[in-house]
Amino acid sequence: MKKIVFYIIYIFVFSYYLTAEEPVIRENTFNDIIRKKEIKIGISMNYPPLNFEKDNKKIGIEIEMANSLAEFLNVKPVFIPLSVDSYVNALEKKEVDVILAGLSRDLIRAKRIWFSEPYFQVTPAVFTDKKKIPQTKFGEFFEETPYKNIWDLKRKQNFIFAVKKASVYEDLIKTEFSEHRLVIVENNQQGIDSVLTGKAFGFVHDSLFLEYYMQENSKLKSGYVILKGGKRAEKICVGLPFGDIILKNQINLWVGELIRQGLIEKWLQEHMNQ
Amino acid sequence: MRKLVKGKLKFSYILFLFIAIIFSPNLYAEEENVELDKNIKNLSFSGFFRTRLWHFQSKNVFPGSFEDDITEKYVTYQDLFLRNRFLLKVSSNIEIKTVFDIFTVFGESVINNIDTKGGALGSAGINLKTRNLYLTYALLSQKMQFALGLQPFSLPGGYILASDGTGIKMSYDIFKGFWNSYIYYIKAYDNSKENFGEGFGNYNFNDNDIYVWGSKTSFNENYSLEFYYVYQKDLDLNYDADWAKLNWVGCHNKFFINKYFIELALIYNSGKIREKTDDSANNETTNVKAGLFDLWLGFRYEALEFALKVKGATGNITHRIHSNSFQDIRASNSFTSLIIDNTGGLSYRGSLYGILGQGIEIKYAFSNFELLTRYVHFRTANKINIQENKKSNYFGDEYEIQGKYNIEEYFSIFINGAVFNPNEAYTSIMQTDNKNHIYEFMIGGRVDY
Repeated sequence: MKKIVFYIIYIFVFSYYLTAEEPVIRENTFNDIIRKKEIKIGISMNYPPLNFEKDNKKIGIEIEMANSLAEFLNVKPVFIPLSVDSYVNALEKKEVDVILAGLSRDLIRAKRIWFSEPYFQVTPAVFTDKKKIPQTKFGEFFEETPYKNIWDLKRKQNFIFAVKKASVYEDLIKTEFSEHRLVIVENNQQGIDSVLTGKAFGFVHDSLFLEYYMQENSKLKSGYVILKGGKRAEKICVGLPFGDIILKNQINLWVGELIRQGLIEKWLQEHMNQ
Repeated sequence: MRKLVKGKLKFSYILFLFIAIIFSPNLYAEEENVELDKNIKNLSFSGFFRTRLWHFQSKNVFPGSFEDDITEKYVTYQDLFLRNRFLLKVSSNIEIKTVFDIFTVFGESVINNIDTKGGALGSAGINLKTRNLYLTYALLSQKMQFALGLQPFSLPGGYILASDGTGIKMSYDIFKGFWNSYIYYIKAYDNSKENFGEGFGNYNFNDNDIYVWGSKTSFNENYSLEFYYVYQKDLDLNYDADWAKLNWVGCHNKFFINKYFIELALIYNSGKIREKTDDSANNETTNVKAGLFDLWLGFRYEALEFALKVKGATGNITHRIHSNSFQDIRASNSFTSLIIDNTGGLSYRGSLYGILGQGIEIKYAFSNFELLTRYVHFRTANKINIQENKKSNYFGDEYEIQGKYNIEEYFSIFINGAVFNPNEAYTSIMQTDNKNHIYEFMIGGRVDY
């Protein structure tokens, strides 16, 4: 009987340690990259203008960055497309060495992976139908307080948001707009379609993606608008394995140099115009 | 002499020490930084700068601008306008908001209500104007909001009220935002004593009490409804015989069905206006029973938006105080650029009584360019005597084209041209036989910040 109780306790304690969210330490990633002369870079499936396909070829700011990183480390880049909910697991399971996929820095992810210095800053934004926002301008001078950013939508309680499943914006809307109705979508196109068909009033994503989408679909400009996030910004960083200080130092140095040389800004201009 | 130099040196030394201590960056730095950070973090600025070049031309009569039909007349001027909105978030529940404008006009002083004396601050009438100065206070996790002070008050469409005024506003959300109720009490609004002309201001009364109750709801994502009741008691302090007691009941509906949208506004207006007659102490009372409607049927296909619009209000176009003339407190309506307009330039009026318009509007967007074209046919609500035994309500037609090019996200230039083709009712009201067109042209730029 004592043995049975002991085993039950043992299994209980062991299973607790198995399920606890402890970071997987990967302190030799940098050495592995140099030794294999190859860096496995996790990229998003489709995230214009950071990473998208044109004429059957992957292009975008993060593709330029990935090539630049490989050149800096003097290794060959290998691109591994990942879905948004598999970034952290892929790093932990050694499927990739770094993540370059418009990854926002947040505390939940920071428990399991490291982040580089941010190379980009975006604000949460909402793509919405102009007709779903109340009229604020009447005549030449008079106006009600205008709706200029996503936070102004707190004044419009019946606004229906659409957000992508497992994105940082799902959490943002659930906490900041807890009284508002929410539609969960699987991907960006579903989010945009939910606004175009009227199922939701606005699709929440980062300002960069929505601006790019609007530029690509200029026909929408007469009827739709983007409200950005005001002062609140999301930091986009390279996702790194937990524990490799050499890799983190090298990546931070490389990010700093890209910013100093104005290359990220240059690539942004080039790919926004495409 | 040496003593004097020594004394001067001593004085300079003390002065240097004093200045060094006073302006030392470190002494109060910590305390100042804390204050500075707190304010900057909680302060938001926004606004826009707009400048427009206007040109009007006609050989016809147009109220407030062109007084005869003998010669071809031109008016050209440039307006400059800077709006500044400051918002200070004092705590999570309290905000202080202020809006002020810097505004001036250069050019010919022919247009009514536009002071074109010059450009320097203070020399052209009012150049710097405080529009809003109020605080908002939120309760119950933002569900209940109070606003107190000089603030914007409006009702949907701006058919009755769209004005800054002093008063109290309260709104309350229930059923997870499905239902919102609001109450306004407005004590006074700017220049309420003055009569701005047709469609602006309300008589010469200036002791105003305005009460508004309204509710907004949306049953689902395709339909929203707002309905409201307004009561106004307006007295003339100088001539105690004059007063107006008016009521409005209105609703504003919006339907969205796939690519189609419908907007419908209906308002019923009733009440009494008592005026002191010129010759004696007798008073004349007008019982008002009037209505307004606005219907908009629209269709959107990709970059193209097409809409049929019909709007109008009952009344006698030449008599605002009339039994079936729709009354407003301070309306701000813009239907076209010349006839029903409150966006600047020439305007027959900014409110709707006694006139009906029906027309089409087409919007199209490509790349960074937006284009709008509009045609509206106007008729008076009541027939006008044209000649003996001949009546007509054909007021005229307006054609309009607008273009806007977004150079950058926050910078756009725009161009607008409008032509009004007057007809029998218009020429009869203006007491002219001339049916010459009236032209308006505007080009401008705007930067938002």
